[in-house]
Amino acid sequence: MYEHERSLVSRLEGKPFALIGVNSDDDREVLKEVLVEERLTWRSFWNGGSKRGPISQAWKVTSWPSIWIIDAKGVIRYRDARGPQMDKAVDALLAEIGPK
Amino acid sequence: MPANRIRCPECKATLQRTEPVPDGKKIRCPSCEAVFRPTAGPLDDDPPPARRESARNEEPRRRDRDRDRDDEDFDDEPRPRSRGKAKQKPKTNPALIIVPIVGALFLLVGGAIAAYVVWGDAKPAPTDVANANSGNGPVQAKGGFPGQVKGGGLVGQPKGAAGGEQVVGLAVGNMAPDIEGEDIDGTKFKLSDYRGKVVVLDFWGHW
Repeated sequence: MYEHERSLVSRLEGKPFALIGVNSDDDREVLKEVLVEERLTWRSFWNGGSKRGPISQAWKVTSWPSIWIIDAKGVIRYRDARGPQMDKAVDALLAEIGPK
Repeated sequence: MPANRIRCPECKATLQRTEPVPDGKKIRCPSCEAVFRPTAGPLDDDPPPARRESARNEEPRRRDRDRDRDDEDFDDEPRPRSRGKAKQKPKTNPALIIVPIVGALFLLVGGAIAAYVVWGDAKPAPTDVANANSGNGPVQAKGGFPGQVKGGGLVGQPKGAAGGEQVVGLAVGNMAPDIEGEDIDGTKFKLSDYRGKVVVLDFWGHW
């Protein structure tokens, strides 16, 4: 279920990249177990335990998943790019930073 | 009975009148100029004419005729021009063509302008939505750049630091609003902690 995210994170290890989640599940303890079971190694904001939590409200999220891809300067560059499209977008933005 | 089809006794031309000649009245044949008093009654050797009500604009019959000219009035009065000419047809009013075309053009242009105003390049309002709980915030991600795509299409183009990114908002090209919150373990952190890195912000749930 989280195959693509896992592979993206492991592929870009050591690069200036971060996958940050915003989770809207309602049970924090259950979620901790999910993180372990599914090997979700990236960080997620806790959205207050609801789809109508403060972060999803501020970002006007009405459907899940919703994706924003942000460059190194903090500018939103892509919306809802998933799968191979997400890979392309991230690689393009990494290329803007240059080799590190 | 009064005749409105007459044969000239001299040149034998058949002459058609719009009105019957009153009995006894002399007329001049327009072909041979002979003056004569028309005989009453229809001509025997001519087939009965197909009567039509309005004689003015109808096609003149071309039997027994070796000349194509008007034959309405044989009196000595000057013949009015262009009476009963066969070619007369109702002229097409050019306005009937031009007005709809111009109207359609106006509608197209007006519609395009309205569409641009409503859906086009709207700059989002610069507001900070870092801790906003209210629903009103910057314009959603429709304005400015083509940002809404279904099914994972690649949206937007990689751009340099062009104009627009100083405005905080949710659209492609805006500065992303900061997020201050906790992770699942309760540790506080911010989205801006990751400035300098490419970030994929993923709203998700395990339900």
